[in-house]
Amino acid sequence: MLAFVVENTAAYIYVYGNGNNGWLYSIYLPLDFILLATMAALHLRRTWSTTLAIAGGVGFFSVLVWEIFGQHEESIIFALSTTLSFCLLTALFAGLLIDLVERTTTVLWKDQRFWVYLSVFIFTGPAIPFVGLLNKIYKRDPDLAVELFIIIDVLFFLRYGAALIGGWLLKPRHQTLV
Amino acid sequence: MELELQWMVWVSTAVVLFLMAFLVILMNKNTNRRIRHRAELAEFHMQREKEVMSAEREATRQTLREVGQELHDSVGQLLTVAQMGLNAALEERTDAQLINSRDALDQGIEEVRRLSHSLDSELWRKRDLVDAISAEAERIERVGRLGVQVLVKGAVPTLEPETSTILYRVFQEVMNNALKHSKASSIRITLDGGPPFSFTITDNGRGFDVATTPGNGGLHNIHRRCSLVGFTAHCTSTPGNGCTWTFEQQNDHGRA
Repeated sequence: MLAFVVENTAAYIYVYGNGNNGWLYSIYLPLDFILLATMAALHLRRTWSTTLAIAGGVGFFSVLVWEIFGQHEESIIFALSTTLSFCLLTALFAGLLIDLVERTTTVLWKDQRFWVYLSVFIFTGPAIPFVGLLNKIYKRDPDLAVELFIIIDVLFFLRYGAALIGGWLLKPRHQTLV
Repeated sequence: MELELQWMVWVSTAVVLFLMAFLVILMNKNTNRRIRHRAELAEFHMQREKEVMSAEREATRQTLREVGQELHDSVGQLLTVAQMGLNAALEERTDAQLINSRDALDQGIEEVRRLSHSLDSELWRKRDLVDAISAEAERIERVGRLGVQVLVKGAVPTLEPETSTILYRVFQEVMNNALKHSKASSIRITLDGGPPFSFTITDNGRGFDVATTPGNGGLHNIHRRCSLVGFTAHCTSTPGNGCTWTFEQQNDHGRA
């Protein structure tokens, strides 16, 4: 829900504001990572996932701090920390999906958890190469970098589409007593 | 610039393909797991059904054993006392009516003895299937006023007690159906040692059309019980030509 609000606010700023919504993502990125990594670690309850979430979290914040205070080159996003957080979230949510498949006996696409996990997985996974190279492209051709943001828009629709299906499956079903 | 863009496209494509392959593998794993789960559930239900049937059999056996015991100890004793009284009376005076009564009483005592023995499942367990079927055939012939012939070919294998019990119950059910509905004058039972071990029950009654006769609980029960102990049950019948039930053992299932 929070992510959805942020994405829409960012879109609003981009269309009706001054166009620079990078600051919003910069604030939201650590929050998004904390929420999702905590959720994944709590759901998985495995040593590797907790270790990965904690160690990854420490690494992510270290890189983010370094990027905020140490990076003075012209950039559009905190590429390294974003890539790192996306890699970690992809690994954690892949783990959640594998765990779900090992536990559930229902059809996967009828399980709301599948859609919720998938929503993060299909957003963070394919976005890794894009955010990894975005600053380099931006340095050479800022217009092209902005145009390439269409990739994030597509992933954005995929992400919230999947989350919406998960939410739809969560709605209470009417059951008869007979 | 071009190189970086190209690199990004290639890596993105590879990542997307990898993620898609990952999802396909997950779907496949989920399908396999569901199939395995369904099989486990079916196995569990079958196991449960077996347990319930076993408990039911045990309860019935216990009740019958008690009834048999009661017949033997109580009714049998009372009849023996009556027999002794009649014998004493016959020693004092010879009376045709008394003699008839004593003969009837002798037969009655013998029937009670047979009945109490047939109800005693412990005793039944000591007999094999051939003996049990032969004894039952003899009893049906005596009370049912129809010819019952038992034919044994080869050496009948020793079956597990549970298998024997279920086959015996199936045999009783088929015989009961023949007595109630077929209007047969004779029944032939053939036990073939095989392998595979099989037995057939053929009557010369009015028969029925297997295809059009609505399947009722009895016929379904026969098939279900046989499958539980690894036997197949097959019924062939046409109107006017009697009925033949064939039971055949599959592999080595149920052998002791």
